[in-house]
Amino acid sequence: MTRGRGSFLVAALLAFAAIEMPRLDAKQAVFRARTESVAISASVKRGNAPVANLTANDFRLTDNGVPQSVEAVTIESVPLDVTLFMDTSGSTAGALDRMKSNVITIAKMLRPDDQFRLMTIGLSVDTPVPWQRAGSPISLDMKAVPGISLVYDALFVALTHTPATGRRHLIVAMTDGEDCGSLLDGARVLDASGRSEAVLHWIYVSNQGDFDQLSIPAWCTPTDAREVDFVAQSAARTGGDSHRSRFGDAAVRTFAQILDEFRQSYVLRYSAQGVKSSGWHTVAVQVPAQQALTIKARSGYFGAP
Amino acid sequence: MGRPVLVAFAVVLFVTPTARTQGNGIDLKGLLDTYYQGRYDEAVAKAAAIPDLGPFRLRFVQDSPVWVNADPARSEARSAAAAAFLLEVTAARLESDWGRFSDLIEWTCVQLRTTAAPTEFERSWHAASHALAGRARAREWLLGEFPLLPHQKAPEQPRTVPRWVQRMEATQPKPPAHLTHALERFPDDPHFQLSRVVAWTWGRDGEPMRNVRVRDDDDQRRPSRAPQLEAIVTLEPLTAVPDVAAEAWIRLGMVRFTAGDFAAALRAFEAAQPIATETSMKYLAYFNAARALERLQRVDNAVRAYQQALEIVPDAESATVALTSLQFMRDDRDVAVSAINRVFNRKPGPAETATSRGYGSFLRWDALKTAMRAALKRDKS
Repeated sequence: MTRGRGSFLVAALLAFAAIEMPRLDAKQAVFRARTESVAISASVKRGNAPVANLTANDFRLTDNGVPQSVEAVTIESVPLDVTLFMDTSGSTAGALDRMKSNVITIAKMLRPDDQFRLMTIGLSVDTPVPWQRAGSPISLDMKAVPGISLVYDALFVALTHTPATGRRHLIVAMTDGEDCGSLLDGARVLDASGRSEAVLHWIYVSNQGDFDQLSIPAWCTPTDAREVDFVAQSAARTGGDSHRSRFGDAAVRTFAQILDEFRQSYVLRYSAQGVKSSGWHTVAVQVPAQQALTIKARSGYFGAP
Repeated sequence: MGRPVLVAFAVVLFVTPTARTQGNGIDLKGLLDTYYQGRYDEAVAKAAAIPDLGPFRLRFVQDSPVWVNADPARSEARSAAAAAFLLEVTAARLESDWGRFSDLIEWTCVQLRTTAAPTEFERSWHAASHALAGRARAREWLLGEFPLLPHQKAPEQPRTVPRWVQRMEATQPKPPAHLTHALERFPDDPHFQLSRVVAWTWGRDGEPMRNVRVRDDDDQRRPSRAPQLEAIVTLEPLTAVPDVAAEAWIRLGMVRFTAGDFAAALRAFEAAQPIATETSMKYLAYFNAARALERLQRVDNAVRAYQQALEIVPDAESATVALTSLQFMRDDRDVAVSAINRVFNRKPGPAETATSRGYGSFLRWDALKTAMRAALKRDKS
């Protein structure tokens, strides 16, 4: 749900400019989600293969049940802001060495005009690698902090990032999804996912290493993940998905698949017509003329009050 | 054989098999000399960098008494230095190795308690040790298996336990109840009294646990949290003791909050606000008040209270997350995004006060360490 700044051509020019100046700072970060124009990320696959070359006319999009005229369909080759969130709490800390290796490998997959940051969690939400241009050397200082797992707080912080115009934001969260100690609850994260421009993918990874019984014990029993899976719901709401993997080569392969799919996804832009601006807007996307497609699209957004 | 001797014997037995042949590479006496000379950080950094703690443990048990007694005229000061050194090394390795130090701390506690009169160093050392145990939420280690608050009575009827269970239990090592030793030596210390009730609530509370389901795995409704409310009986008198009043109000508010009485929680946090002098306590008084106000649906007041918390600790992560999540929901996003970018787009900083609030006095570890070092210097001179 992004404000339309002009035509696709303008957007493309801005994207090109962003290649020259990929550094993002707070002044550049202008949130555009609350305005009348909406952008919906959507990936279209047949089997495991992304479907390319779709045009605006191929899509049918409804906003709160009202069909909308899609103004532009963009096959996204624009630069990306990629947030990699790694759960360094006790429940996954046994794989710390593989996590570090994964970070280095994943950062190398990005294009020079992309941006990258790494978020982890300890007694607070940490950013061991703040936003930096892809390809820059990475200085890693990751450590496991057991007994607390601020998954919700970290996801909220990740979701609030607003990419500069012409860029897109991909969040890949590698975590078991079990929160412990966050200030925010899962419902607040789910709400934020409906207000964020980001696409969130969750790679479920559990502790693949030996947990040291003599470290700080885990005393907190997270339970809501088994009742309401807020992380999976948040991912789905943004048009992302849930995956299962293991730290190491498997996680890297999963990330590569997500990245590839994201780069080949579409952005459907429209000005909402015939619906009230405020409140939750349920969005449905179809490609009526083709059968057996899997479409993952943002499920909706919060309109401006 | 008394319990202290048993503890020492157990420590030696535990460390010896794993480290008997490996301990020679560590110059523990040299590290203690360095620490005793006041080069605290240097000694601690060297010790904390030792990859395998097995040999360190062995050397500590074998060499520290020898080092202490090498200068009989100063044995008390040297004993204090060895004890402080151990706590600081524990802090440096706390997250990964608490369980490798906790028995050594208790062993050291036994040594310190051999002096007839408790010293101010011993008081500060105990306070620091409670902070570290707080991070581990080591309730049994601090209080024993079935701790009682002062107003609670032990069950009148002894448990009827089969003889074979009694025999089995007798062979199990008992937790040292470390905090009770401090209370025996300093029965009137309000900080220790507060630490006791805070530790007592661990495992009975929901802080900072979130989103507990109403029903358990067997679809049974979870029992009420009435047992935790008993902590209030101990906390309330402490609100009248100036040294700990602010924190007692905050802890009391946290108990009320956990029990779902947000109005009472708010009153407690507001009572702490004008009397809190420590930065961390002032921050918690406003931050927690904001959380209670949120739960009372007084969102504008909550925003103001979060902002007041951020005036006390600018860019505090906890208040930033809480405040921006409200702003995000109210569509005041530019302000929220700006704050998030400022606070979180940077490398990790020190531990955060509010997320540390569930770990007892650990949130003031730095101050307690400084106090311990100061007491050490006074004893030495």
